[in-house]
Amino acid sequence: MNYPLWDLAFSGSGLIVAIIATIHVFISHFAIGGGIFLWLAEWWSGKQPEGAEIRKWLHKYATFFLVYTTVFGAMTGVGIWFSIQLASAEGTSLLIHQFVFVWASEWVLFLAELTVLYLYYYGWKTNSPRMQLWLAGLYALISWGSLFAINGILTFMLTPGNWTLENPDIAAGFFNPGFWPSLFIRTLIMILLGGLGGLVIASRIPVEELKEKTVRFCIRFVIPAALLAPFFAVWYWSVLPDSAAKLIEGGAVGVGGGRMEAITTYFITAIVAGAMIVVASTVVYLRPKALTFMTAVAIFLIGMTGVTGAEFMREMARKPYVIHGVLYSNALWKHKAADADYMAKPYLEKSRWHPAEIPSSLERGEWLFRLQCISCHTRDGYRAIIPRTAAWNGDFGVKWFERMHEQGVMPPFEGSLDDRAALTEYLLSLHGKKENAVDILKKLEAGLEAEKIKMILQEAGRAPDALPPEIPADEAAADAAEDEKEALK
Amino acid sequence: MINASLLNDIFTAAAPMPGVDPLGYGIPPLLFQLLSYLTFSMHITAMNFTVGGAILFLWLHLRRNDATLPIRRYLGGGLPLGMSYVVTLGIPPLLFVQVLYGQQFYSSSILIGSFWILIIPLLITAYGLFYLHKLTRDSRRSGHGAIIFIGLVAMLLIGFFYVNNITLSMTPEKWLDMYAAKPDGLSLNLSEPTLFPRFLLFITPAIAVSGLGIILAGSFLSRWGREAEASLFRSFGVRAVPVGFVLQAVCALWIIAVLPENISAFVFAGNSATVLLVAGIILAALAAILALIAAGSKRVLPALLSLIMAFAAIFCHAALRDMVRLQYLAPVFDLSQVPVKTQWGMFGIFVATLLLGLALLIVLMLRVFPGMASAARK
Ligand code: HEC
Ligand code: HEM
Repeated sequence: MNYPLWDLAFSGSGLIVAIIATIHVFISHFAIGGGIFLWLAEWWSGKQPEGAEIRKWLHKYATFFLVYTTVFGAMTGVGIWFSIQLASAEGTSLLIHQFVFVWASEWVLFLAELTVLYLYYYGWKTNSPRMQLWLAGLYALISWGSLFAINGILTFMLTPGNWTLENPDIAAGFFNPGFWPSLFIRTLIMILLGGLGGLVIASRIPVEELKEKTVRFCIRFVIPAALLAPFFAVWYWSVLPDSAAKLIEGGAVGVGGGRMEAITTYFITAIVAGAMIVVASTVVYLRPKALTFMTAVAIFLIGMTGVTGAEFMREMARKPYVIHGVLYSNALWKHKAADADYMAKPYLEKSRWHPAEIPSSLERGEWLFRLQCISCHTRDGYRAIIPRTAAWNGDFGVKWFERMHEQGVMPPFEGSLDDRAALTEYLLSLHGKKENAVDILKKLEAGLEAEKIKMILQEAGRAPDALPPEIPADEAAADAAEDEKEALK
Repeated sequence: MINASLLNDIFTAAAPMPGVDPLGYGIPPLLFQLLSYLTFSMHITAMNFTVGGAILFLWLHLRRNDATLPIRRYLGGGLPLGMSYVVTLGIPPLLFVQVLYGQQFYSSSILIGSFWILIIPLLITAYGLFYLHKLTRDSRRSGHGAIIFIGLVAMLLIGFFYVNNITLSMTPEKWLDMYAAKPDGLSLNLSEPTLFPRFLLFITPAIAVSGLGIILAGSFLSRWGREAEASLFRSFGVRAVPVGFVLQAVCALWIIAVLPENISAFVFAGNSATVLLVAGIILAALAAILALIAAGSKRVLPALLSLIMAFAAIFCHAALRDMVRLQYLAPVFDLSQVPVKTQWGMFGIFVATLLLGLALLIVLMLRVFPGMASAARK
């Protein structure tokens, strides 16, 4: 627990990361696919009799491409860095320290990619056609190279494979089990999006025959990519850690409601989007002239939805870790979580970021919430804690923390029994319920006492039905103690 | 059994300075520092071109003199390109600052998190507006002053947030109270006495640096036989250069006046920091003198040399700035606390990629630029 947590209302830090990352993933895949597309279109236009006309269309594509991928794509890429720093500093620090030179090399590729794009675009009028072909090809190649580099780091987070903290083998971490399937599936998605982007621009070509040709040219990218993608998705699935695959399947983990639905929804979204694209593209291929600008934009957006679904699913699959099996999202290290003594120590003795004096258990609970839960929950916004604890009472809360990690999406609770009571007090207070941590503990103690007595009685062969449930626990305990005394007489 | 009294204990917090990252430095920190100075200087130079370009554009725009239109077109057309290199050259120092000073940098970033994340929409705004200007300046006549103005303000805000973050990362004694007061990241480091002079110390030279850029453009125009425009560029550029340098000198005096005593004592102690300070001043003066020479010459060389001197001065500033940072942090942190666990193989891959990448870009530029130049020739 090294860093403070950004206690952001409504969205929480996690949703900010997800939003920026989704936009970025979409645009960056388009940027690479669009690059391959530009290159092939350069080459193709050189062979067509109406090449000059096609190049006019291509220039429009290139302008759109330039602005869209640099202004929105590159900036959201920087945005991912900014947001993950804020949402999980500890995990980011680990990734940066481990992969600093992968990232530095990736930056070289990025610098080269950008500069080549400028030479291509600003040299439109003065470069020879051969030079343009070279530049477009280099752009596509280099930007795919940058995907190659970042893909190693992205998949590392979900499937670190043989990499461990004790033996941080960079090659094992980079070429982890998820590396190849993810690289292939991303490459396909890139090609698909490049083609879809081409459709948008092609839909506005005024010359009929030319439009027909160009549209068909674009579709030839889209359909094969959309058809192949599911096969690679299955491959990727097969390398996921068991727990993650289970999460996606929605089985095994016994939590109700929200999450399962959400994750299945993302999955279905991706599948449906893929199917819609295949159908729509086939129709367009058969009747290219009928393609309007709005239809093309709509297909483009469907593509975006599909990619968004897939990305959210990947994010979900990582829960409760930032780096699977190594570091939990709330900056608890897995190896520390295995140490029961460490885990049971009062949390605030180990943490660094709370004030020196915390005058009440309520405030102690708030700090615990902020430092342990806020990385995934907000109070009343995204994945809000208030509705999720609506049915809680004091001793339920205290007991719940003991088992929260069993749901498979949350790290284990870190802290003492007092901590659990204080956090429960705080969570209840969010509902306006006033239950002091000391009272919670007393009740719990009485309850435990009663349990113990029940057990003694059971062992003594007496029926354990002596405690009517409506009696508050401490009274029940007192009664039970009386009973016991009587029995012993 | 249960000891409920613990609930009323006072927890003395561990120091808020985060522990070191278990993976340590992949190469000796000095190498990281040098890489960081080099790329950070490039970032600041690009930032100066772009911010200065926007300021001078607006200055000329407000004076509405048709004669200066070529300069405005040059400056306005360069903004998107400038912006993209500000960002791209900002990435490696962002990487290295996280490696070297992650413990401080992440902490301060989170403390100002809500402002820090605003940098992203601000970037998109500035960059998008600069493109809007460039792509529509021939088709739409009005509104361009406002477009560039908003873009400039967005850039300045980004720089301001950066200065808040970096200064906060150097003053860990403020962290705990700040976090307790505003865990939502809505803090800025406004109580920092060096905040504004430091910000201006980075921004004011922008006027000089983009002035140098205009002079350099003028020398190319001469080469292409466009003498009328060339002399316009040179005479305007050479007037901007001293303005920038003088303003920066004022800010330098200001910041020296407000630095904590131990820090200013360190800077003037006659050590390597002092050397960097003096070298920076001399290099900046050389850049100014060369700018004067370049303004009276049709050759490219003096203007180019002047820019190189300015870059070297920025490099000295970057190195000095880092030594000052370490001095601030000295009571709680120094680089030797972090273990070095070398990754020479990976470093080698990076160096090879860098050399190959640069070689490729140089070859391509040598092939593309002549065509562009001959199209620009009269
Ligand atoms: C790694 C991220 C993560 C952390 C950290 C985390 N949670 Fe959760 N929590 C989840 C997810 C994911 C779910 C299930 C999805 C949902 O309910 O939307 C969940 C569900 C819950 C639920 C509803 C459970 C149910 O059975 O319906 C409660 C209550 C809850 N969390 C409380 C907490 C508390 C209190 C903390 C801090 C001690 C915490 N969580 C920390 C991710 C997290
Ligand atoms: C676009 C407008 C920008 C402006 C005006 C700007 C300006 C500045 C200034 C003034 C500083 C010095 C801060 C200080 O020392 O107090 C700085 C530092 C820095 N900038 Fe930028 N910046 C901009 C964008 C960016 C972007 C987009 C990035 C990242 C991709 C970036 C990366 C950095 C880094 C990493 C540092 C600190 C390096 C270190 O401390 O070692 N900047 N910037």
